[in-house]
Amino acid sequence: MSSSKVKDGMPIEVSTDTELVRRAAKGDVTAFNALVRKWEKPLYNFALRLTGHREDALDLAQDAFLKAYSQLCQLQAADKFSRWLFKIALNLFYSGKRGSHEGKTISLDEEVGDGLNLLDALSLGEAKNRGHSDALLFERERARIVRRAIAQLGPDQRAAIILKIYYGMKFEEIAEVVDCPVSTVKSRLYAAMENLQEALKDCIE
Amino acid sequence: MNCQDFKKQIMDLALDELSVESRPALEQHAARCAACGAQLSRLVAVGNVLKNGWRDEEVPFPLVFTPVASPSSSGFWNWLLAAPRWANVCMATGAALVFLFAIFSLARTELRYDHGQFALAFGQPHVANPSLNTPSGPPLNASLDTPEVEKIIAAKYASLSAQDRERYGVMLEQLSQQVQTQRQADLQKIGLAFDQVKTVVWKDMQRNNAIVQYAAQRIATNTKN
Repeated sequence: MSSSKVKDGMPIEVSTDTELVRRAAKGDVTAFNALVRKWEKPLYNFALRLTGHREDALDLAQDAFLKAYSQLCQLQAADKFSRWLFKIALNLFYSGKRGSHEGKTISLDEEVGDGLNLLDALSLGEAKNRGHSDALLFERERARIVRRAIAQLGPDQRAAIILKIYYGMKFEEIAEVVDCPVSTVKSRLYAAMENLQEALKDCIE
Repeated sequence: MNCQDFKKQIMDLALDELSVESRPALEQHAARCAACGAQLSRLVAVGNVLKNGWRDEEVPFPLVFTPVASPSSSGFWNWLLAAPRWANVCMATGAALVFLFAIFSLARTELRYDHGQFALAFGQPHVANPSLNTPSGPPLNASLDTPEVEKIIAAKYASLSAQDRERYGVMLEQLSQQVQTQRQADLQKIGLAFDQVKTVVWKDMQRNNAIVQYAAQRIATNTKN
């Protein structure tokens, strides 16, 4: 299935995942790269929220795409490509390939003081020069608390809450990605919400 | 709706998992009950803080793939991976059988059915007792010391290699010992039986003598009278 849209006066072909997957499974690398372009940002951010580390997240996203490409023939329902891709990334994360950077390299996510990581500190320095540091500082502080709150969740609760909050998936869809019953997903989400309510109490009151 | 019913569904409401029909009742209760309303607000706020507190980042550099081989053209393994489960099971079973066959061939395995039992042997091929396995030889229940059997054994023994001779020599010796033992046991049994017969005959003789003497005495007494 594909539809025509007009952008800057030029018609462009917008292909659905199903069609791109079919073409990629037949060996069309361009189609697979179209899938990569479409899903790299969501997948990278999913990996980033899971690992809490930019470098690991990038590795995880790349590995997930590579694995997806090699197993594309096994994908029965091409319309579920995105959930299948997330499932691959999650399984890679669970398999323990991630998180090896801690203590070995200097991460951009590592705090360098005042609860700020290196990137935040650089941004803050720039913002201070421009004279609007308070708003940015508030944003950065909230981001730090959120990152820490998510990081303190167990991997199962973390995966469930990320898929729910950031990707708006329904219970059934999350169950498909994390490969467990809907009731388990519900209990994980409820527990995660309770934990987050406590961890984020300074931000929500 | 009361607070208890509301609390049962508050998470689903905050996580936007309720149907359009069931939402109004809960929302009305949240508007009426301050405690439930505050609890719902906190849970919704958690979602909002999470969403706004960690926005999507751009990928540091675009991911572009230039695969070496396309998934459909990489042959057998892709076909196998994509094949249905029954095909995978058949392939696995076939591979396992071929592997086992190869292993058994290498180990020179021999599977025999002998006297109602299966026997598995490795190494040298099994050679049955030549005297019992010879097609032209005597039946199994025939006497082992008949001249025909001796001839067959002698012929077989002559045709064996030195190693086999040694092996079968030991076997024949053992067999011979068994025969000797059996023969001695049989003779002992016969001897015992003979002794028993002798005893019976002696007893009969004694009894007959006693009867004859008794009869003679009676005849003599009757003659006197």
